[in-house]
Amino acid sequence: MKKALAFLLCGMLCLAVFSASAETAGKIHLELFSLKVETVDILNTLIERFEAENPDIDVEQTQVPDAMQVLQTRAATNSLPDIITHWAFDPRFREMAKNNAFMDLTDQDLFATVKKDLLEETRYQDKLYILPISTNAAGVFYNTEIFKEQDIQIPTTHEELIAVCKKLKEAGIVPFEMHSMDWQPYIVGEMTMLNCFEDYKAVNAELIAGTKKVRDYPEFEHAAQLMRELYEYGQQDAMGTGYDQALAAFANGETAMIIQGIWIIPSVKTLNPQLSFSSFPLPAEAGKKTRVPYQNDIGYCISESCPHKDAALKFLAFIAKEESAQYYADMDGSASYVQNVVSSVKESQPVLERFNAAENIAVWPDQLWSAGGGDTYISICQQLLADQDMEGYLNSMQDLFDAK
Amino acid sequence: MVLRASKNRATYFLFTLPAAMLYLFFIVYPILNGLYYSMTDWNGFGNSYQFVGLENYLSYFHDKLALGAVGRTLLYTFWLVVCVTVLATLISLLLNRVVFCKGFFHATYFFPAILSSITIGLIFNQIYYQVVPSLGQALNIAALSRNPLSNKDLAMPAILLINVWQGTSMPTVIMLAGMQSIPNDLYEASRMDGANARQSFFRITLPLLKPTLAVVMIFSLRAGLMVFDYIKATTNGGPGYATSSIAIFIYRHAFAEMKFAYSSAESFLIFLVITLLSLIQIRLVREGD
Repeated sequence: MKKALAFLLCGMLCLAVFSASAETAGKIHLELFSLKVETVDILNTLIERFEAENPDIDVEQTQVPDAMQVLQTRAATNSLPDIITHWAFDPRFREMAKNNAFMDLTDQDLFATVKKDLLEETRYQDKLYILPISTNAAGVFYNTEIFKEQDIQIPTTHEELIAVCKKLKEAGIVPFEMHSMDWQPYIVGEMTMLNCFEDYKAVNAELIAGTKKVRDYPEFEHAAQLMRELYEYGQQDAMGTGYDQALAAFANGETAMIIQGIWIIPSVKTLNPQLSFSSFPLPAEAGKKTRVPYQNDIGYCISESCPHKDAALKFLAFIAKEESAQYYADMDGSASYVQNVVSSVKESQPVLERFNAAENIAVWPDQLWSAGGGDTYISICQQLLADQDMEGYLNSMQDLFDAK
Repeated sequence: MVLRASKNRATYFLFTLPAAMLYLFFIVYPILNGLYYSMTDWNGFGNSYQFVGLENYLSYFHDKLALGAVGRTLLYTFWLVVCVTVLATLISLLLNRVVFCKGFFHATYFFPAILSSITIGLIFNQIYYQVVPSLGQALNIAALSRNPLSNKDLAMPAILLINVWQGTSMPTVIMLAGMQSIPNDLYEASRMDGANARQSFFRITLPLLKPTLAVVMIFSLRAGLMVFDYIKATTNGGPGYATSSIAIFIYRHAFAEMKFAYSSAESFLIFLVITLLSLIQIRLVREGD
């Protein structure tokens, strides 16, 4: 009896194995490794749509905690996934491209729908290794009800913004919810930097090359002063507040504004679906150009070691379609690299409308620094906010550019 | 006779072989590999790298930020070892005398050890953000009316407190086991000789606990020098660099700055420091014997 049962179970097991392999036999398997936690469901929907059009290709999304470290480890062991989402300006992306981790996409027929000006910025050593789809941006998010109650107009210069802050303070309202305990200072610091320089990118190139020093540009000190000024209008314990706590405070209407990226929109809506809020770009001083900082937020690369490059290219071509990009933009709320695609998320529109004409936008400065520069800059800014030591700030900035 | 002995030796050898192989493969090989990479300029994932000799080790001694972290971490470790050892000794002394609800008290003091350090870090994050400022304001203590993690002078002690809270539980259990292994007749004999509680602690308990103390101190020393999780869950090294420990820089260099070889070199240096300090500690504890 026992023997018969054993045979039966073995038989069933074999049948299960064969039926499973029969189901997937003949299909091409692609692994899509995503570095963006927030987009799991969006990508899965896009994968389903792609598989419906291409029944012979099976795409599987991999989402792991600490995805960047896992990716680096897999690169080190020559086991890179077939398709990888990455960020075109991230120093780690450049490092990987330099090490021939990605397939050269320059001559591929993938970029017809992508906005040309923005695409050109993503070249690395004159080659295209990534299909950029969306971009993030940052600005000032404000509570529309508080602005209405206090009869406040949207400020268009730094001076007007400070006047707004003073008015709010007089009315007993905290103007900004700040969270300098973690990474926010880099957002504020880099935004004021972009607003102070006429052409930050050119200045950055000179500093990296070592032909100029930080102290040759008074704009660095001035930008840091503007950052400090904005923090003066934050809540009492900004240095003791973290990202989640700050979002909760803004969502609960405790403060009038928060300087953040468009990625906060879904979280704020989840925290308080009733909150009415909108955005505006962080304004530059009168007479200077206001710039919206951006960074490629999701882009797709094919690994050089991918054995099914044609299938992977097919997937990328599907992702670059207007239809797919529109779905992504609507769900994610980000601006798109794809022509004619406008996100339907209204809260970010005032910040994102500049991307339609690609005017007065600039890549985040830390994306132009060596790997890890952004993390170092956060510490430098925190140090300045804690010590008010401008000399130390300028010295540390010089060290940052000197770091190889 | 000789044949049997050699046969026995072969059997012993075969029995230890699997463990030795696993140890060689999972411990010794990675260590040697790490040592090799620490002498290259490998970025962590590329296929090519250059052999640079001791360059990474030498440049560490010119890295102002990393050296700042060394001083900070050593100070932190000193206080951690002192607090944990003293507290674990005191608590285990008390627990050793508890008769009523013994199991409950033992379990309560052991409880922090079973929680993950990241979870504890996040819980304390909320305590420091919500509870401490309210208390500070109610008691009119200026320094505590803000999140202590935001104050560069208080951030490290605040993290130390979290570490001590969790780090004391395991040593307490070890010390308790050590105390319970001391034969009772020694205390009885000392009492008959007229020794008071203080004398029997310093003359009997402490000398016999020395090996246990050495273990506890080495554990705390290692935990202090490698402190990472609590910092990652609370301040991530800030404000500024106020809580950036050696391990935070090792992590940052490896995963943010892609200087894997350099962070391997840092890891080796800290390995040497831990070994050296542990040897000194063992020596000091044994000296009195």
